[in-house]
Amino acid sequence: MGTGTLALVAAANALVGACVGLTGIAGFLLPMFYAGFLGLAPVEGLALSFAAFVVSGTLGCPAYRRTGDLLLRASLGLLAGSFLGALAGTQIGLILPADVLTVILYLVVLGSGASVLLRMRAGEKDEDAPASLPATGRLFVVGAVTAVVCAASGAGGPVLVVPILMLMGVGPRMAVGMALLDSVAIAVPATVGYLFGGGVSAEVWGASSRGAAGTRGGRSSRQL
Amino acid sequence: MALLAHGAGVLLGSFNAHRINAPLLKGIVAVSSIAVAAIKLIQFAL
Repeated sequence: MGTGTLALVAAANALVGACVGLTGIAGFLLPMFYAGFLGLAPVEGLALSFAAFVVSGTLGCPAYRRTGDLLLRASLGLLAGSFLGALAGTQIGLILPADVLTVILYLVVLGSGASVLLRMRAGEKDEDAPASLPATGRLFVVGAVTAVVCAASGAGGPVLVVPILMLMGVGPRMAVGMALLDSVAIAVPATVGYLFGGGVSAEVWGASSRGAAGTRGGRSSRQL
Repeated sequence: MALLAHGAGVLLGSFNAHRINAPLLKGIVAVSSIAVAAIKLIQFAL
């Protein structure tokens, strides 16, 4: 593993982390980077990405909490749904063939990008609309459904949850704050599931702590 | 190191979220994601 790869992994993680902290969106770029650019197998890329999402969700929340944009009690329904959804989504991600996982991942990215653009247009029209919080039951359903998709495809959560929350009437910054916290509820079971259920090698797991990703030679059929 | 770099980026971004034009950044991320996903899906289909 070269120093260049090490620097590239660190730079990509820092850049994606900054974007996640700013807008909640960009986490889905990590599995694309690991699998598409470094050539890791999808499951390995997912495991490393969700490990990063645990970090980003945990460290990103305090800033939004400090500005009053993260209401913990109101987020409980979303968190509970996401935790259960992520458990199911991880199993789906482990069972589905790599090709299916690849298509799902990029379809989710495509749909998420389009939804962000649509939400930006809607936000311009409803900029002065008062923010409100959906009922706990609705948040539970949203959390469960989005977590299944995210855990199976490698999206961090905010890329889907933020636009959906905004469409439900939640203010933009509050939506980002809730989604960051929600990403922890998705990432913890997903990380554990992919690490222990997906046969991720110690070498690849070491990439997360030592920045050694990209050392694997050759591209397999499971790579994105 | 990857997780440390990711955490540092998140802290930097989240504590400066109110200073930066987030809509513009979201637009860039959205357009980029659409483009990358479209290219990858086309490559996969061919």
